[in-house]
Order: sequence, then C-alpha cells, then structure tokens
Amino acid sequence: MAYAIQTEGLTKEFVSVSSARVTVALKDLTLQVEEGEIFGFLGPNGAGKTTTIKILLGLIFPTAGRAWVLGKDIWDTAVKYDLAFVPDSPYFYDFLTAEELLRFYGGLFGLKGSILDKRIEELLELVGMTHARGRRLREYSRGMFQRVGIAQALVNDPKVLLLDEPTSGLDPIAQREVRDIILKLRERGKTVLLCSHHLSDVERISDRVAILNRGKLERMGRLDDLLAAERVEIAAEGLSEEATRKITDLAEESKVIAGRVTAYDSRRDVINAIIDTIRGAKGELISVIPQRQTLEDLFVRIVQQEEPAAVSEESR
Amino acid sequence: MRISALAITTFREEVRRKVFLFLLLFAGVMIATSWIFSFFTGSEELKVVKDMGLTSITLAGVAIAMVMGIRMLPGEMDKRTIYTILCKPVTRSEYLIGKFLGGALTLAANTVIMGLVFLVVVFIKSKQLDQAMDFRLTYQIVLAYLQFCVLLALTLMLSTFVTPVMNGSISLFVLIVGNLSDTIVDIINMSKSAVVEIGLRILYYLVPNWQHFSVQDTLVRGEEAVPLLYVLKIALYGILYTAILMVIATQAFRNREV
Repeated sequence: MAYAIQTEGLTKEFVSVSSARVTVALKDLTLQVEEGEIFGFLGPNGAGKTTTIKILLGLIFPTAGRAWVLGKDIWDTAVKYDLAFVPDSPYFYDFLTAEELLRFYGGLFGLKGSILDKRIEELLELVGMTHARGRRLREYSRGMFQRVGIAQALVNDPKVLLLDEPTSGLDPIAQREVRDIILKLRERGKTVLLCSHHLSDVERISDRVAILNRGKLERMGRLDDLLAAERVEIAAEGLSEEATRKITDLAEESKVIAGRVTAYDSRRDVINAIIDTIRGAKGELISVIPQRQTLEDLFVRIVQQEEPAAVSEESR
Repeated sequence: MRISALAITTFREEVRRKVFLFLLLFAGVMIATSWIFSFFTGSEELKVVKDMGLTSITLAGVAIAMVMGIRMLPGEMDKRTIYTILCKPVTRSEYLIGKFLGGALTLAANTVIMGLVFLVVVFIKSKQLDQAMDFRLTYQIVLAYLQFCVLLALTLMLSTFVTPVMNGSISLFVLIVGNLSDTIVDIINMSKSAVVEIGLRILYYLVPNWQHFSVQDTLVRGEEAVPLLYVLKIALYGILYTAILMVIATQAFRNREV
C-alpha cells in the first residue's frame, strides 16, 4: 500500500544571489506518513517544515530528492485533487462570505450546481460555520477564519491535508474546536500532516510525529515509542555517603531528601551502573520507574542538544 | 471555468479597493473644467473640455493599471492567498491569465464609467454651444483602454521576476520612452554612432509605441478624420502586444518559486 506522503532524500538549498551564500533549508529528508493518521510535523522556526510543505505543494522545487502523495509523484497534476493545504494565518478574499469563498474554491475544481451546494452545506456544518455562512469574512474572528480555511481545503474532499499552525493565535476554546475538527477528519479517513508549535495539542491527537531541526530529521516514530521509557527514575535508601556521591555524579539529574536518593537518567548503561552501585553498597532499591516524558521534553532536548554552529548554513 | 472564477474574484477584489475613488476625482475634474474654462470662447471651450477629459481618462487609467499590475502578484504572495489557489488544480498560467482578465475587467469598468461621464459632459457642452456631438471621441477611449491593458500585462509580467520597486521604475521608463517613440526615430536619424543607433533601435522596437494609441489631438482639433481601420489596426497591435507579454509572464512564472 502506498504511503499518504513519502519523501526520499528531499533537500532544498536557497542561494542568495547578493552574498553567494547557500542556506540549506532541508537536508536529505526521508519520511513516510501512513494513510489515515495524524502526523505531527514538528520543529523550531526555520527547521524546514514549511519548506517541506511548499515542496509537496509544488510551490518550490527541491534541489534533490523526490516526494510522492498516495504513490503519485508530486509533479503529477492528479496529486492536486488528493492534497489540500491550510496555510498559517492566511488571508482569504475577505469581501466574500464563507459560502461565496467556498463557491470560489469549488469552482477551481470545476464543481458547480447541486453537487457544490451540497458540499458547501456539509463543510459549513463540519467546521461549525453554518450560522455565519452569509457574513463577510472581514467580520470574522480569527477562529472563524481558521475554520473557513479548513473548509476551503476540504472543498473537493481530498484525502491528505497539510495544516500549518492551524491553532496559532487562537484562544483555548477555538484551539479545542480546531482540534476536534482535525479528529473528525481522521474519523473520516483523512490523513493529516499537522505542523504546530502547540506541542500539547500535537501530543494529544497525533499518532506519529517527526521532529526536524535545522533542516534535518532528528526523530520520527509513534508517540508511544518516542515518549516511553526514555528516562528512568531510580529511588534508593540506606546508601553510604560515598555511594550517594557516586550516584549523583553518574545521573543526569538527582536529588537527596531525608536519606533517599532519587536519580533520573535515560542512558541504559548509566541506569545499570546506578543500580549496580546501589546493590554494591547494600542499599535498598525502592523503585525503578520508567518515566514517560512529554513531547515538549523530547522536543526541547532534541533542539537543545544540536550544536549552534550546525550545517544549516555554508558559505561557498 | 477556473480562469473565469479567478477573473471574477479578482475583479470583485479590485473594485473593492477604492480604485473607484479615481473615478470620482476624475468626474470632479471633468465638471470643474467645463465651468472654469467657460471664459474661453465658443469652440475653444469645447476643445479644452475634450482635451482635459481625454487626458484625465488616460492618466487615471494608466495609474490604475500600473498600481494594479505591480501589486497584484506580490500582494497575493505576501498574504499567502496564492498558496491556497496554486495547490488546487490551477496551473500557473491559468492563475496569471485569470488575474490579468480580472484586472482588465476592472479597467474596463473604470474606463466605461469615466468615458460615460466624459461623453455626458461633452454632450451637454456641445448642446450649450449649439455644436454637433462628436461620437468619434469613443475611438480614443477604446484605444486608451487597450493601452491600459498593455500596461497591466507589462507590470504583471515584470512582477513575476522583479521587486515591486524595480517593476515601478522599469514600467515608468517604458511609459516615458514609449511616449517618445517619434523623438527616438529623430535621434536615430541624426545619430552618427552605430552603437547609439543600434541601442535606440532595439529600444524603439521593444517598447510599445504609446503614441499609436493616441488620436486625441486629431479628434479634438477635428481637422483630419480618424479612420476606423486605423483604430482597428492599433487595437490589434495592442492585443498582440498584450498576448506576447502574457506569454512571457506565464513562462517566467512557471519556474518561479512562490
């Protein structure tokens, strides 16, 4: 079965004509997004997320590599019927009403008559905008604008959606509403590639995530696998001062409260060494608890461990 | 279908952009001139009204066409509206042609309104002065409209590969040089340098000859007739020029990263 989105060695370099400087926005990106999943596509600003999306949409051209949507090369015009996009804080023609806007975008797919009418009804209901269908977009709140943005992307019932920061600038209620719409889309069998800085949202609704940093893919996998058991909490009592010092030196993080030593580490060898030290010192091992980290923990760790002078920019 | 959807939406958007304020201004100028210049005698007064009216139409139309053409593409790129359109099954050529047709429709609406105001004022003045109404003035209005379309295509074409400031500078240069076509021919004839001559010849053939689009002097003086065939020939010239510019624009835009 073909992947919803697949890239192989996707690379994008931008060359500044004035300074002859080459910026590597994306480096050798190989990823697969499966059909019907919500795929969190994460990274700090400038990580290459938008560059990837723009390549998938055919708005910019890759320096190297290839990409497919549902098994079709992205340059195949049939892809445009399967793939839809909601940009970050887009401007739509705000002199139109939601209904007129959807009619315009439907017209770009050649949709008309009762088929388009029915589709508009469905979409307005899906995004909860039926009540405001006749109002001009300029009167809309940001949340309403975002919902119409999602509706326009769905006008031809595409199979794959690329959402770039769909909840940015929204209040918590509107964020939740957009999140619910995304979940509804998964229920309908859509594949969603979700770029967002709201990591708790991504953690809550994504099946898998990829984390990019400085144009490189740093991690990709199921959330459960990525977040589980990265870090282990080890608690022990009855240790000598020397054993306590040895453990606090070994561990990434530790604390000693009322004779109980609690150490945290994610390195298997260090975890074993700490346990060996406890046993060797005849201490009492109270607990060894694998700690599920949050997506934010993982994200921050990946982004911070990267050297500042990375390969993102090279002078030629 | 896709092109018409784009053209209609572009037209509605442009109309909304208060370009029609130009028309109000123009109507004001028209009405003012017919009274301010009432101290001229008889036929002189009518000539001034015709001259100022037609010049106002040209200036307003040129300004609207240039501003619209320069801003159209970068505006949609800055606001990211273009992403939501080009990711749909719309080719880049269809997108540009749709935008152009929407702009041309806006210019048509502007020109029709300006032209009607002008013709009404001339009609009233002609009546007051007991002179026959000259409907051939519409020739100049049609030719002016074609000039606006060429300018729109030129600025739209330039916007596919240069910045708005550069676009404004180049199109202004083309506008000035194209209005000096006869002078360029004179300079070529007088020139003793082959390099200058070749350079000017290239410029002469490359830049549209805006003077072709102006039959204003002939019409206002009323001494010579302006044959309909001439108007048709220039109309064809304008349409061909526009088509060539749009072909270049679509080719340039095809490889542009947005």
